Amino acid sequence: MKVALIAVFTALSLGTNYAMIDIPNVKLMDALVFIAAFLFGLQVGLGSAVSTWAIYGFLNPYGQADLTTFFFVTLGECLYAVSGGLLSRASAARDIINEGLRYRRVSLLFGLIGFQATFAYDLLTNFGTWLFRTSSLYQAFIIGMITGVPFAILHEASNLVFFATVVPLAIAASKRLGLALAETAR
Amino acid sequence: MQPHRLFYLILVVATLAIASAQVGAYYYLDRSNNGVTSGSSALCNYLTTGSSGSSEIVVNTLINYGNGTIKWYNQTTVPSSWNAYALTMYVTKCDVQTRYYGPPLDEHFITGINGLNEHGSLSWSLWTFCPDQHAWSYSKVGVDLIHLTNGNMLAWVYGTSSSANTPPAPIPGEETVVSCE
Repeated sequence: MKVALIAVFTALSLGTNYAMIDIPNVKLMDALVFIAAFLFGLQVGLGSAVSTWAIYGFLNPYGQADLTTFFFVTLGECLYAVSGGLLSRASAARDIINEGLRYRRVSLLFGLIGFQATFAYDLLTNFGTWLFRTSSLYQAFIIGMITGVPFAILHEASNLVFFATVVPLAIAASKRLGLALAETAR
Repeated sequence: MQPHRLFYLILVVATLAIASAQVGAYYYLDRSNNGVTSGSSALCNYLTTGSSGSSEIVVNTLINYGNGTIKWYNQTTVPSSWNAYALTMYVTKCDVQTRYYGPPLDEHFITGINGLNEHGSLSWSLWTFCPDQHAWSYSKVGVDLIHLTNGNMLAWVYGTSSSANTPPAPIPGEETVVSCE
């Protein structure tokens, strides 16, 4: 069952990634990985994150990712799975879902969580980009954060919107269909 | 929201802090792209210490201030991955004014070097030395597109230039050619 779910979320992530290929750093993939972990557990989220990047990192019209980049983007993508998995266990998420999904509260919660997870992803991947091009970890961190900030802002703003809109809708739909929500429904 | 007020408060405050940090970083990047990078800043520090792990080359740079002052920066050892913009930042200790054109161009247009900025028809022009012809060639590409090789000679010249006239040669009396090829 988990393998099938991972395959479905990987296919969804790849399909939307390639469809949105012309818009750099604006992708539904992060929200989909988060949804996978939130609805179906951390393993499904992590599996989706890794398998999506295993394909997208190497079959990409912008070029193949080198191993360092691949490592950091995959690790960064796993942060969405971890945040989805952790949030599904948090009482704040459980309460708003069990109380009947008030849209404003759900949007606020997922939007903010998505924004922060994206910031962590950008911080990690920008650091990774400069790790072997600078002479210290501090320089890699600072240079990565500064030079990557235009893309990071775009990424964070788009994910704030996606997490505030797509994620609540997906969770509401899955609740209506009786899918998963194993942790949150407890 | 009542039972989780603190949780939401922390989320909002953390988000605002992150957003502020990002806006600050963007402002800093924008200033540095436009040549307002302090000589002691992190970006300048990165440029002037070079990158580890890449091979090094030796290049020579000339800056002609157009008032008779010509300064050579000879035998400068820099990483082979650098372009002429990084070299210019390095030799001037980041005392460079630029206009930055973002993606997809991602190019810097140098408007001032070591405190001497473009003014009216006076501006900076970039030249490369052609060893085969023993002559200088006015660069047809931007500073970011000139990738350095060992023994390269580059020159910045301050003088009158326009779209109709080629700016003055780096060293008065020396030969110039249209292209190194």
